[in-house]
Amino acid sequence: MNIFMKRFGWALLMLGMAQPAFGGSEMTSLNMVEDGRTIYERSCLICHGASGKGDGPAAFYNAAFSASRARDFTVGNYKFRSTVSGSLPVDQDLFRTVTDGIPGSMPSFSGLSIEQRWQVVAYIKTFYSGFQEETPESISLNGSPIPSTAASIQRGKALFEEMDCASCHGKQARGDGSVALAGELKDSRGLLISPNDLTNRTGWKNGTTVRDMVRTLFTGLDGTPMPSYESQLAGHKEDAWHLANYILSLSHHE
Amino acid sequence: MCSQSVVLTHRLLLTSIFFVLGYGVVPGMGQLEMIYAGTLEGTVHYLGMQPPSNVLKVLKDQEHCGAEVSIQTVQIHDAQGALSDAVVSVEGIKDVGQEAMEMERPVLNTRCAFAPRIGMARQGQELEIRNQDPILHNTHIKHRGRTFLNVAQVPGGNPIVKRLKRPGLHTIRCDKHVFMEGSLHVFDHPYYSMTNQTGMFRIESIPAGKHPIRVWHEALGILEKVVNVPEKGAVQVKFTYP
Repeated sequence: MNIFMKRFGWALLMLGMAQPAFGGSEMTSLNMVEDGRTIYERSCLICHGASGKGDGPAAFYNAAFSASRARDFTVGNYKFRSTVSGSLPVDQDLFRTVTDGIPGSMPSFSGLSIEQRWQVVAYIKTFYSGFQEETPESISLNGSPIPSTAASIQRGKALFEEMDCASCHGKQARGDGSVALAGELKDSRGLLISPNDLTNRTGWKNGTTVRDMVRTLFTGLDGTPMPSYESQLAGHKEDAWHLANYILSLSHHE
Repeated sequence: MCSQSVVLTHRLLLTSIFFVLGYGVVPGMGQLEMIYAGTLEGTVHYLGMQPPSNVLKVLKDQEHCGAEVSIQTVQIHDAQGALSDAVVSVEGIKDVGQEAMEMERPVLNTRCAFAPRIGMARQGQELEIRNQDPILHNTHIKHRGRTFLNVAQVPGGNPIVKRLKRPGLHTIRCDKHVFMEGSLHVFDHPYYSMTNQTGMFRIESIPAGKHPIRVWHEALGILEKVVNVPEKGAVQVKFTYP
Protein backbone atom coordinates (compact mmCIF):
# COMPACT_ATOMS: atom_id res chain seq x y z
CA MET A 1 0.00 0.00 0.00
CA ASN A 2 2.78 2.37 0.93
CA ILE A 3 4.67 1.63 -2.28
CA PHE A 4 1.52 2.18 -4.28
CA MET A 5 0.85 5.51 -2.53
CA LYS A 6 4.41 6.64 -3.06
CA ARG A 7 4.31 5.82 -6.76
CA PHE A 8 0.90 7.39 -7.13
CA GLY A 9 2.20 10.53 -5.43
CA TRP A 10 5.12 10.76 -7.77
CA ALA A 11 2.84 10.27 -10.75
CA LEU A 12 0.83 13.29 -9.61
CA LEU A 13 3.99 15.35 -9.21
CA MET A 14 5.22 14.52 -12.66
CA LEU A 15 1.89 15.58 -14.08
CA GLY A 16 2.42 19.02 -12.59
CA MET A 17 -0.09 18.51 -9.81
CA ALA A 18 2.46 18.85 -7.07
CA GLN A 19 0.64 21.58 -5.15
CA PRO A 20 -2.33 19.57 -3.98
CA ALA A 21 -0.05 16.61 -3.40
CA PHE A 22 2.25 18.60 -1.15
CA GLY A 23 -0.61 20.39 0.53
CA GLY A 24 -1.40 17.15 2.35
CA SER A 25 1.23 15.97 4.73
CA GLU A 26 0.32 12.36 4.03
CA MET A 27 1.89 12.65 0.58
CA THR A 28 5.02 14.38 1.80
CA SER A 29 6.54 11.26 3.16
CA LEU A 30 9.20 11.26 5.79
CA ASN A 31 11.47 9.46 3.35
CA MET A 32 11.08 12.29 0.89
CA VAL A 33 11.99 14.88 3.51
CA GLU A 34 14.92 12.81 4.70
CA ASP A 35 16.19 12.39 1.14
CA GLY A 36 15.76 16.13 0.70
CA ARG A 37 17.79 16.77 3.83
CA THR A 38 20.68 14.74 2.46
CA ILE A 39 20.68 16.76 -0.76
CA TYR A 40 20.23 20.03 1.13
CA GLU A 41 23.19 19.36 3.37
CA ARG A 42 25.32 18.56 0.36
CA SER A 43 24.18 21.36 -1.96
CA CYS A 44 22.38 24.14 -0.07
CA LEU A 45 23.79 24.25 3.45
CA ILE A 46 26.91 26.18 2.51
CA CYS A 47 24.77 29.27 1.86
CA HIS A 48 21.46 28.64 3.62
CA GLY A 49 22.95 27.10 6.77
CA ALA A 50 22.19 23.95 8.71
CA SER A 51 19.10 25.45 10.32
CA GLY A 52 17.91 27.21 7.16
CA LYS A 53 18.50 30.71 8.52
CA GLY A 54 20.55 31.80 5.54
CA ASP A 55 23.64 31.80 7.70
CA GLY A 56 25.76 29.18 6.00
CA PRO A 57 29.54 29.60 5.87
CA ALA A 58 29.42 31.25 2.44
CA ALA A 59 26.38 33.46 3.00
CA PHE A 60 28.09 36.31 4.81
CA TYR A 61 31.00 36.45 2.37
CA ASN A 62 28.67 36.50 -0.60
CA ALA A 63 26.75 39.47 0.74
CA ALA A 64 28.51 40.96 3.73
CA PHE A 65 27.03 44.41 3.79
CA SER A 66 24.33 44.46 1.14
CA ALA A 67 21.56 42.30 -0.20
CA SER A 68 20.95 39.76 -1.31
CA ARG A 69 22.10 37.29 1.28
CA ALA A 70 20.94 33.67 1.15
CA ARG A 71 17.27 33.22 1.95
CA ASP A 72 16.30 32.64 5.57
CA PHE A 73 13.81 29.79 5.28
CA THR A 74 12.65 30.09 8.88
CA VAL A 75 10.83 33.43 8.45
CA GLY A 76 8.54 32.66 5.52
CA ASN A 77 9.63 35.58 3.33
CA TYR A 78 9.93 34.51 -0.29
CA LYS A 79 10.70 36.88 -3.13
CA PHE A 80 9.97 34.68 -6.10
CA ARG A 81 6.37 33.57 -5.96
CA SER A 82 3.29 33.36 -8.07
CA THR A 83 1.13 34.25 -5.06
CA VAL A 84 -0.21 37.51 -3.61
CA SER A 85 2.00 39.74 -1.50
CA GLY A 86 2.44 38.31 1.98
CA SER A 87 1.66 34.78 0.91
CA LEU A 88 3.94 31.78 0.91
CA PRO A 89 5.01 30.41 -2.47
CA VAL A 90 3.40 27.36 -4.01
CA ASP A 91 5.62 24.32 -4.43
CA GLN A 92 6.08 25.00 -8.11
CA ASP A 93 7.60 28.41 -7.26
CA LEU A 94 10.21 26.77 -5.05
CA PHE A 95 10.84 24.09 -7.65
CA ARG A 96 11.35 26.79 -10.30
CA THR A 97 13.90 28.63 -8.19
CA VAL A 98 15.79 25.43 -7.38
CA THR A 99 15.78 24.50 -11.06
CA ASP A 100 16.58 27.87 -12.62
CA GLY A 101 18.66 29.40 -9.86
CA ILE A 102 18.81 33.18 -9.40
CA PRO A 103 21.05 35.16 -11.74
CA GLY A 104 23.90 36.70 -9.80
CA SER A 105 22.90 35.03 -6.54
CA MET A 106 22.26 31.30 -6.73
CA PRO A 107 23.28 28.63 -9.18
CA SER A 108 20.84 26.47 -11.06
CA PHE A 109 20.37 23.02 -9.60
CA SER A 110 18.95 21.54 -12.77
CA GLY A 111 21.75 19.00 -12.47
CA LEU A 112 19.71 17.33 -9.76
CA SER A 113 17.05 14.94 -10.98
CA ILE A 114 13.45 16.14 -10.93
CA GLU A 115 12.78 13.78 -8.04
CA GLN A 116 15.73 15.17 -6.08
CA ARG A 117 14.60 18.75 -6.63
CA TRP A 118 11.14 17.96 -5.27
CA GLN A 119 12.79 16.27 -2.31
CA VAL A 120 14.76 19.45 -1.60
CA VAL A 121 11.55 21.49 -1.86
CA ALA A 122 9.89 19.17 0.67
CA TYR A 123 12.80 19.60 3.06
CA ILE A 124 13.04 23.39 2.67
CA LYS A 125 9.38 23.65 3.69
CA THR A 126 10.09 21.97 7.02
CA PHE A 127 11.99 25.06 8.19
CA TYR A 128 8.82 27.16 8.45
CA SER A 129 5.66 25.96 10.17
CA GLY A 130 3.47 28.25 8.06
CA PHE A 131 3.65 25.72 5.24
CA GLN A 132 1.59 23.36 7.39
CA GLU A 133 -1.01 26.04 8.16
CA GLU A 134 -1.46 27.98 4.94
CA THR A 135 -2.63 27.02 1.49
CA PRO A 136 -1.07 29.46 -0.96
CA GLU A 137 -2.58 29.82 -4.41
CA SER A 138 -1.11 31.20 -7.60
CA ILE A 139 -2.75 34.37 -8.86
CA SER A 140 -4.19 34.89 -12.32
CA LEU A 141 -2.00 36.94 -14.62
CA ASN A 142 -4.95 38.89 -15.93
CA GLY A 143 -5.20 37.71 -19.51
CA SER A 144 -2.61 36.83 -22.09
CA PRO A 145 0.41 38.67 -23.47
CA ILE A 146 -0.41 41.31 -26.03
CA PRO A 147 1.83 42.14 -29.00
CA SER A 148 4.67 44.49 -28.19
CA THR A 149 3.66 47.20 -30.63
CA ALA A 150 4.81 50.82 -30.58
CA ALA A 151 1.44 51.81 -29.13
CA SER A 152 1.70 49.20 -26.39
CA ILE A 153 5.22 50.32 -25.49
CA GLN A 154 4.10 53.94 -25.47
CA ARG A 155 1.24 53.10 -23.11
CA GLY A 156 3.69 51.13 -20.96
CA LYS A 157 5.99 54.12 -20.75
CA ALA A 158 3.14 56.31 -19.56
CA LEU A 159 2.33 53.71 -16.90
CA PHE A 160 5.99 53.56 -15.84
CA GLU A 161 5.73 57.27 -15.07
CA GLU A 162 2.25 57.07 -13.56
CA MET A 163 3.26 54.23 -11.23
CA ASP A 164 6.37 56.21 -10.26
CA CYS A 165 8.67 53.28 -11.02
CA ALA A 166 11.42 55.87 -11.54
CA SER A 167 11.60 56.60 -7.80
CA CYS A 168 13.55 53.40 -7.38
CA HIS A 169 14.49 52.26 -10.88
CA GLY A 170 15.36 55.71 -12.24
CA LYS A 171 14.03 57.68 -15.19
CA GLN A 172 16.17 55.65 -17.55
CA ALA A 173 15.30 52.50 -15.58
CA ARG A 174 18.95 51.79 -14.76
CA GLY A 175 18.29 51.14 -11.09
CA ASP A 176 19.41 54.62 -10.11
CA GLY A 177 16.26 56.31 -8.83
CA SER A 178 16.49 59.00 -6.18
CA VAL A 179 15.30 56.75 -3.35
CA ALA A 180 17.87 54.12 -4.34
CA LEU A 181 20.69 56.64 -4.59
CA ALA A 182 19.80 58.00 -1.16
CA GLY A 183 20.52 54.54 0.28
CA GLU A 184 17.04 54.25 1.72
CA LEU A 185 16.09 50.90 0.24
CA LYS A 186 16.64 47.98 2.61
CA ASP A 187 15.69 44.33 2.56
CA SER A 188 14.03 42.42 5.39
CA ARG A 189 17.39 42.02 7.13
CA GLY A 190 18.09 45.74 6.97
CA LEU A 191 20.72 45.25 4.29
CA LEU A 192 21.07 47.83 1.55
CA ILE A 193 19.36 46.60 -1.59
CA SER A 194 19.55 47.95 -5.13
CA PRO A 195 16.66 48.01 -7.57
CA ASN A 196 17.16 46.09 -10.77
CA ASP A 197 18.71 47.77 -13.78
CA LEU A 198 15.80 47.20 -16.11
CA THR A 199 17.94 47.87 -19.18
CA ASN A 200 20.05 44.79 -18.49
CA ARG A 201 17.95 41.67 -18.66
CA THR A 202 20.74 39.34 -17.62
CA GLY A 203 20.43 40.55 -14.04
CA TRP A 204 16.70 39.97 -13.70
CA LYS A 205 16.20 37.49 -10.93
CA ASN A 206 12.57 36.55 -11.38
CA GLY A 207 12.69 35.60 -15.06
CA THR A 208 12.99 37.50 -18.31
CA THR A 209 9.79 36.74 -20.21
CA VAL A 210 6.83 39.08 -20.42
CA ARG A 211 4.88 36.65 -18.22
CA ASP A 212 7.68 36.72 -15.63
CA MET A 213 7.55 40.53 -15.64
CA VAL A 214 3.78 40.68 -15.21
CA ARG A 215 4.00 38.11 -12.43
CA THR A 216 6.62 40.25 -10.66
CA LEU A 217 4.45 43.36 -11.01
CA PHE A 218 1.48 41.52 -9.53
CA THR A 219 3.22 39.69 -6.69
CA GLY A 220 5.95 42.13 -5.73
CA LEU A 221 9.11 40.73 -4.17
CA ASP A 222 8.45 40.01 -0.49
CA GLY A 223 11.33 40.85 1.80
CA THR A 224 12.34 43.74 -0.46
CA PRO A 225 10.86 47.21 -1.05
CA MET A 226 9.38 46.12 -4.41
CA PRO A 227 5.61 46.24 -3.83
CA SER A 228 2.76 44.46 -5.54
CA TYR A 229 0.91 46.51 -8.15
CA GLU A 230 -1.86 43.95 -8.50
CA SER A 231 -4.69 46.05 -7.13
CA GLN A 232 -3.60 49.08 -9.14
CA LEU A 233 -3.39 47.14 -12.39
CA ALA A 234 -6.23 44.69 -11.89
CA GLY A 235 -8.96 46.99 -13.14
CA HIS A 236 -7.19 47.65 -16.43
CA LYS A 237 -6.77 44.29 -17.97
CA GLU A 238 -4.11 45.15 -20.54
CA ASP A 239 -2.07 47.69 -18.61
CA ALA A 240 0.16 45.14 -16.90
CA TRP A 241 1.10 43.73 -20.30
CA HIS A 242 1.74 47.21 -21.73
CA LEU A 243 4.00 48.02 -18.79
CA ALA A 244 5.83 44.72 -19.16
CA ASN A 245 6.24 45.30 -22.89
CA TYR A 246 7.78 48.70 -22.19
CA ILE A 247 10.19 47.35 -19.58
CA LEU A 248 11.26 44.52 -21.85
CA SER A 249 11.75 46.98 -24.71
CA LEU A 250 14.39 48.81 -22.66
CA SER A 251 16.84 45.94 -22.81
CA HIS A 252 16.59 45.32 -26.56
CA HIS A 253 17.04 41.65 -25.94
CA GLU A 254 16.63 39.29 -28.89
CA MET B 1 -44.24 26.97 23.48
CA CYS B 2 -45.38 28.01 26.90
CA SER B 3 -42.50 26.21 28.64
CA GLN B 4 -40.03 27.86 26.24
CA SER B 5 -41.36 31.29 27.25
CA VAL B 6 -40.97 30.40 30.91
CA VAL B 7 -37.36 29.31 30.35
CA LEU B 8 -36.58 32.50 28.43
CA THR B 9 -38.20 34.62 31.12
CA HIS B 10 -36.12 32.88 33.78
CA ARG B 11 -32.92 33.42 31.76
CA LEU B 12 -33.78 37.09 31.28
CA LEU B 13 -34.45 37.48 34.99
CA LEU B 14 -31.20 35.72 35.87
CA THR B 15 -29.24 37.90 33.45
CA SER B 16 -30.83 41.04 34.90
CA ILE B 17 -29.93 39.98 38.43
CA PHE B 18 -26.32 39.43 37.44
CA PHE B 19 -26.16 42.84 35.80
CA VAL B 20 -27.64 44.52 38.84
CA LEU B 21 -25.01 42.78 40.94
CA GLY B 22 -22.32 44.06 38.63
CA TYR B 23 -21.49 40.81 36.90
CA GLY B 24 -21.11 40.90 33.14
CA VAL B 25 -22.25 38.56 30.44
CA VAL B 26 -19.54 38.43 27.86
CA PRO B 27 -21.08 39.26 24.48
CA GLY B 28 -21.09 36.35 22.11
CA MET B 29 -21.11 33.75 24.87
CA GLY B 30 -24.04 31.50 25.55
CA GLN B 31 -26.79 32.95 27.75
CA LEU B 32 -25.93 30.76 30.72
CA GLU B 33 -22.15 30.87 30.35
CA MET B 34 -21.78 33.84 32.64
CA ILE B 35 -18.45 34.76 34.12
CA TYR B 36 -17.38 37.27 36.69
CA ALA B 37 -15.83 40.23 34.94
CA GLY B 38 -14.33 43.47 36.08
CA THR B 39 -12.94 46.64 34.62
CA LEU B 40 -9.37 47.82 34.47
CA GLU B 41 -8.84 51.56 34.56
CA GLY B 42 -5.64 53.45 34.80
CA THR B 43 -3.14 55.94 33.56
CA VAL B 44 0.24 55.93 31.91
CA HIS B 45 2.69 58.72 32.67
CA TYR B 46 6.15 59.66 31.52
CA LEU B 47 8.26 61.50 34.08
CA GLY B 48 11.41 61.98 32.03
CA MET B 49 12.48 64.87 29.88
CA GLN B 50 10.65 65.30 26.62
CA PRO B 51 13.03 63.96 23.97
CA PRO B 52 13.66 66.22 21.00
CA SER B 53 11.65 65.64 17.87
CA ASN B 54 13.24 63.60 15.16
CA VAL B 55 13.62 65.93 12.19
CA LEU B 56 14.13 64.17 8.87
CA LYS B 57 14.85 65.60 5.47
CA VAL B 58 12.39 64.69 2.76
CA LEU B 59 14.11 63.53 -0.39
CA LYS B 60 11.09 62.70 -2.49
CA ASP B 61 7.82 64.50 -3.22
CA GLN B 62 8.81 67.61 -1.30
CA GLU B 63 6.07 69.62 -2.99
CA HIS B 64 3.54 67.55 -1.09
CA CYS B 65 5.40 66.25 1.98
CA GLY B 66 7.44 69.39 2.68
CA ALA B 67 11.20 69.83 2.88
CA GLU B 68 11.41 68.03 6.21
CA VAL B 69 9.21 66.24 8.69
CA SER B 70 9.30 66.46 12.46
CA ILE B 71 8.28 63.33 14.35
CA GLN B 72 7.64 63.34 18.08
CA THR B 73 6.81 59.86 19.28
CA VAL B 74 6.57 60.76 22.99
CA GLN B 75 3.35 62.73 23.32
CA ILE B 76 3.13 64.29 26.80
CA HIS B 77 0.01 66.32 27.50
CA ASP B 78 0.32 67.86 30.95
CA ALA B 79 2.73 68.68 33.75
CA GLN B 80 2.09 65.28 35.34
CA GLY B 81 3.38 63.55 32.25
CA ALA B 82 0.12 62.14 30.88
CA LEU B 83 1.21 60.00 27.95
CA SER B 84 -0.97 59.21 24.97
CA ASP B 85 -0.66 56.46 22.35
CA ALA B 86 0.49 53.77 24.77
CA VAL B 87 -1.12 50.41 24.04
CA VAL B 88 -2.37 48.59 27.12
CA SER B 89 -3.33 44.92 26.96
CA VAL B 90 -4.10 41.97 29.16
CA GLU B 91 -1.55 39.25 28.53
CA GLY B 92 -1.86 35.50 28.60
CA ILE B 93 -5.62 35.60 28.47
CA LYS B 94 -7.66 33.29 26.33
CA ASP B 95 -10.31 34.53 23.99
CA VAL B 96 -13.51 33.74 25.83
CA GLY B 97 -15.66 33.62 22.76
CA GLN B 98 -16.27 37.21 21.83
CA GLU B 99 -16.36 37.44 18.09
CA ALA B 100 -14.32 40.17 16.44
CA MET B 101 -16.66 42.85 15.17
CA GLU B 102 -17.04 42.73 11.42
CA MET B 103 -15.53 46.10 10.79
CA GLU B 104 -12.60 47.19 8.72
CA ARG B 105 -9.64 48.82 10.37
CA PRO B 106 -8.43 51.63 8.15
CA VAL B 107 -4.82 52.53 7.55
CA LEU B 108 -4.62 55.77 5.66
CA ASN B 109 -1.68 57.21 3.78
CA THR B 110 -2.42 60.85 4.34
CA ARG B 111 -0.18 63.91 4.31
CA CYS B 112 2.85 61.64 4.01
CA ALA B 113 2.06 59.83 7.25
CA PHE B 114 0.12 56.79 8.35
CA ALA B 115 -3.13 57.41 10.16
CA PRO B 116 -3.46 56.10 12.72
CA ARG B 117 0.25 56.00 13.40
CA ILE B 118 -0.40 53.50 16.20
CA GLY B 119 -3.37 51.22 15.62
CA MET B 120 -5.09 48.27 17.27
CA ALA B 121 -7.22 45.49 15.86
CA ARG B 122 -8.61 42.04 16.59
CA GLN B 123 -7.34 38.97 14.85
CA GLY B 124 -9.82 38.18 12.10
CA GLN B 125 -10.70 41.78 11.34
CA GLU B 126 -9.94 43.23 7.95
CA LEU B 127 -7.42 45.94 7.32
CA GLU B 128 -8.36 48.51 4.70
CA ILE B 129 -5.50 50.52 3.25
CA ARG B 130 -6.14 53.74 1.36
CA ASN B 131 -3.97 56.39 -0.19
CA GLN B 132 -5.45 59.86 0.21
CA ASP B 133 -2.37 61.68 -1.05
CA PRO B 134 -1.84 62.90 -4.62
CA ILE B 135 1.41 60.92 -4.80
CA LEU B 136 2.28 57.23 -4.89
CA HIS B 137 2.87 55.40 -1.62
CA ASN B 138 3.65 51.81 -0.86
CA THR B 139 2.33 50.32 2.34
CA HIS B 140 4.76 47.69 3.57
CA ILE B 141 3.56 45.77 6.63
CA LYS B 142 5.70 43.16 8.35
CA HIS B 143 4.92 40.70 11.09
CA ARG B 144 7.75 38.87 12.84
CA GLY B 145 10.09 39.65 9.98
CA ARG B 146 7.75 38.30 7.34
CA THR B 147 5.99 40.49 4.83
CA PHE B 148 2.30 40.65 5.63
CA LEU B 149 1.63 42.97 2.75
CA ASN B 150 3.63 45.22 0.45
CA VAL B 151 1.41 47.08 -1.97
CA ALA B 152 1.79 50.12 -4.16
CA GLN B 153 -1.04 52.62 -4.26
CA VAL B 154 -1.25 55.29 -6.90
CA PRO B 155 -3.18 58.50 -6.14
CA GLY B 156 -6.86 57.64 -6.11
CA GLY B 157 -6.02 53.97 -6.50
CA ASN B 158 -8.11 51.07 -5.30
CA PRO B 159 -8.24 50.46 -1.55
CA ILE B 160 -6.67 47.22 -0.43
CA VAL B 161 -8.35 44.94 2.06
CA LYS B 162 -6.65 42.06 3.84
CA ARG B 163 -7.71 39.98 6.84
CA LEU B 164 -5.46 40.02 9.90
CA LYS B 165 -4.67 36.38 10.51
CA ARG B 166 -2.06 36.44 13.24
CA PRO B 167 -1.79 38.33 16.53
CA GLY B 168 1.23 40.42 17.36
CA LEU B 169 2.98 43.63 16.44
CA HIS B 170 2.80 44.58 12.77
CA THR B 171 5.19 47.29 11.63
CA ILE B 172 4.15 49.63 8.83
CA ARG B 173 6.47 51.54 6.54
CA CYS B 174 6.51 53.26 3.17
CA ASP B 175 9.73 52.32 1.41
CA LYS B 176 9.47 55.35 -0.83
CA HIS B 177 9.14 57.76 2.09
CA VAL B 178 11.16 56.19 4.89
CA PHE B 179 9.99 58.72 7.47
CA MET B 180 6.51 57.19 7.18
CA GLU B 181 6.30 54.58 9.92
CA GLY B 182 3.55 53.12 12.05
CA SER B 183 2.51 50.08 14.04
CA LEU B 184 -0.55 47.94 14.29
CA HIS B 185 -1.18 45.76 17.33
CA VAL B 186 -3.31 42.71 16.61
CA PHE B 187 -4.81 40.82 19.54
CA ASP B 188 -6.46 37.42 19.74
CA HIS B 189 -8.72 38.69 22.53
CA PRO B 190 -10.76 41.85 23.13
CA TYR B 191 -8.91 43.12 26.22
CA TYR B 192 -6.85 46.03 24.99
CA SER B 193 -6.95 49.81 24.92
CA MET B 194 -4.87 52.87 24.14
CA THR B 195 -4.18 55.85 26.33
CA ASN B 196 -5.83 59.11 25.39
CA GLN B 197 -4.57 62.66 25.86
CA THR B 198 -5.14 62.47 29.60
CA GLY B 199 -3.00 59.33 29.75
CA MET B 200 -6.06 57.26 30.70
CA PHE B 201 -7.24 53.89 29.47
CA ARG B 202 -10.14 51.58 30.31
CA ILE B 203 -10.70 47.89 29.52
CA GLU B 204 -14.05 46.37 30.39
CA SER B 205 -15.42 42.85 30.92
CA ILE B 206 -12.13 41.25 31.88
CA PRO B 207 -12.54 37.83 33.51
CA ALA B 208 -11.78 38.14 37.20
CA GLY B 209 -8.38 37.03 38.46
CA LYS B 210 -4.70 37.91 38.35
CA HIS B 211 -3.55 38.99 34.93
CA PRO B 212 -0.29 40.42 33.63
CA ILE B 213 -0.98 43.85 32.15
CA ARG B 214 1.38 45.08 29.48
CA VAL B 215 1.99 48.64 28.30
CA TRP B 216 3.73 49.18 25.00
CA HIS B 217 5.05 52.49 23.76
CA GLU B 218 6.86 52.84 20.46
CA ALA B 219 9.74 54.86 21.90
CA LEU B 220 9.67 54.08 25.62
CA GLY B 221 9.34 50.32 25.45
CA ILE B 222 7.35 47.89 27.56
CA LEU B 223 6.10 47.94 31.14
CA GLU B 224 4.38 45.01 32.83
CA LYS B 225 2.49 44.59 36.06
CA VAL B 226 0.30 41.82 37.48
CA VAL B 227 -3.12 43.15 38.45
CA ASN B 228 -5.90 41.39 40.30
CA VAL B 229 -9.08 42.14 38.38
CA PRO B 230 -12.12 41.98 40.68
CA GLU B 231 -15.29 40.02 40.07
CA LYS B 232 -17.20 43.27 39.83
CA GLY B 233 -16.38 46.94 39.68
CA ALA B 234 -13.12 48.45 38.58
CA VAL B 235 -9.52 48.26 39.67
CA GLN B 236 -7.16 51.20 39.22
CA VAL B 237 -3.59 50.84 38.05
CA LYS B 238 -0.89 53.37 37.27
CA PHE B 239 2.09 52.88 35.00
CA THR B 240 5.03 55.23 34.92
CA TYR B 241 7.93 55.54 32.50
CA PRO B 242 10.87 55.35 32.83
